[in-house]
Amino acid sequence: MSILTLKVFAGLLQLHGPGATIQSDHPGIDALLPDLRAQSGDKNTTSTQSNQNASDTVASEEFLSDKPLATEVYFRRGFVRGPGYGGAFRRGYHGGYGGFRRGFARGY
Amino acid sequence: MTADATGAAAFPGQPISQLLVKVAARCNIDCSYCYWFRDAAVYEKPKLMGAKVLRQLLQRVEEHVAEHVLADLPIVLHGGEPLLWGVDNFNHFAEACAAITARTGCAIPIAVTTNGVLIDDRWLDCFETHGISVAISLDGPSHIHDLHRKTFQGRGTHEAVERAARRLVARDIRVSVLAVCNPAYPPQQYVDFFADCGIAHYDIMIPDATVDEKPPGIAAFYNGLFELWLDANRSQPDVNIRIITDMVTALLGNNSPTEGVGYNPVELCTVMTDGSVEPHDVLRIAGDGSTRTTFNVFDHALDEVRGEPRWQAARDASINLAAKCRSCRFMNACGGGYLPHRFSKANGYDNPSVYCDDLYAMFENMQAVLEGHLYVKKPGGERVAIRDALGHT
Repeated sequence: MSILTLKVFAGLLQLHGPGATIQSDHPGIDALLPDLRAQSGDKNTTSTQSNQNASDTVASEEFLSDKPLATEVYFRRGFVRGPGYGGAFRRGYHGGYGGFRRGFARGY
Repeated sequence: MTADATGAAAFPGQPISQLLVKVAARCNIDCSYCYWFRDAAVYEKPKLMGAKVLRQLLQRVEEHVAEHVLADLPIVLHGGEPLLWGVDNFNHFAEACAAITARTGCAIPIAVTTNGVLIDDRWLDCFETHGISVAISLDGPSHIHDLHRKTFQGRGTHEAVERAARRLVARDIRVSVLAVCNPAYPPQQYVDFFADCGIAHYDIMIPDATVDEKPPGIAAFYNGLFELWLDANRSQPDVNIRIITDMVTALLGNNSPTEGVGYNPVELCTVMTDGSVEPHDVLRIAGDGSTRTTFNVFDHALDEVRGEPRWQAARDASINLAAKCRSCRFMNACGGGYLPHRFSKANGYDNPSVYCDDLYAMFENMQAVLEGHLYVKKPGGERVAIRDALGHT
């Protein structure tokens, strides 16, 4: 079994044609899939929302090549971007919950 | 990504994009597993950040965000115990950051990581007024927490910390909890406790250890925690257990949002109470003077630390993985483990994590579960299980 990667997903979507999407029957897992779409967009991979609110990631040459996918520094941050990031200051599933990086989140 | 593609060249340099500011170098409690005091060099630092250092730091922050036209620069106030700095200093700092935002357009979200013991109404007002998000260290129920998190007189701190956590929740202040895993206890005890407190965002972190140590296994604990995360989010995504969501995110091919999971450079910049600038604070786990540099905010711009040898060494170590890691099928998701956990006196950071076998077992278990929950939805609505779909690639 192949390990799941953006490249594998992109290959699957390409195989199943335009409009195919990757989804999950588990809401917790499915909630993490939209990040795939967002990052796909960052990497010049066409990404749009279908009317069924499902992913529509189209494989790009970049994903299908063996080039390393350089990681933006942004994603290393302990602050998780999401609605209310840095501002709204109210509880929610996503948001900028602070001090939230591995290690320096410890209040020693 | 192939193993051959790993290394510094794959990650172009970028401006410092997050600051860890040590506003207090001492702590008011005495946790047994603290990495901070493994390095006696912290005692050479001023106990608290003074006004002169603070002014210079704020000036450097403004110069940095203006020069690099940053959209945001998150700052985490840390220690020791940062609340020892005092609520007036927090208010002043937040107001100064807001003024920088007004002048530059760069958002400066502020967070604090605290043991929570000192939190009272003034602190709650401060957090609420300035939108400061709070991470509070709380190792679950008292019989786990009080094993390690004690006062200098040896008394447990759980009662005070739980009270603070509940007050933060009651005020609807953005709070997350940071616990350290004790694998001798079932994860259910942590999950039930946090649910009872009304805390939906938390992490149960892998205990810090170097390769020179022999920590107990953690795979069974985290595989159990993953099951609990699946159960808690089965109807809707309500509970965020960070290490689980990070690992799932990484397995799905994304960049994990935090530094403990995934293959990415660690580019943290730490400002000490005396204005000196260092790399990753947790690297103090390597012992005395391990993060010491000659850089400081008086003589150097923030981004100059990128040219500092120890900062560069830490960054390079985070992406130059050991041979075993480079050939591992979970290399991208795991990233060799958390950098401090790769240290040994003999090889520096050129090791797999001391938890390598556990991490492999955890990723293998998660991967199998994820495959069972994913499918390709075709344009006509037909679903193809990911396992079947992968069978055709």
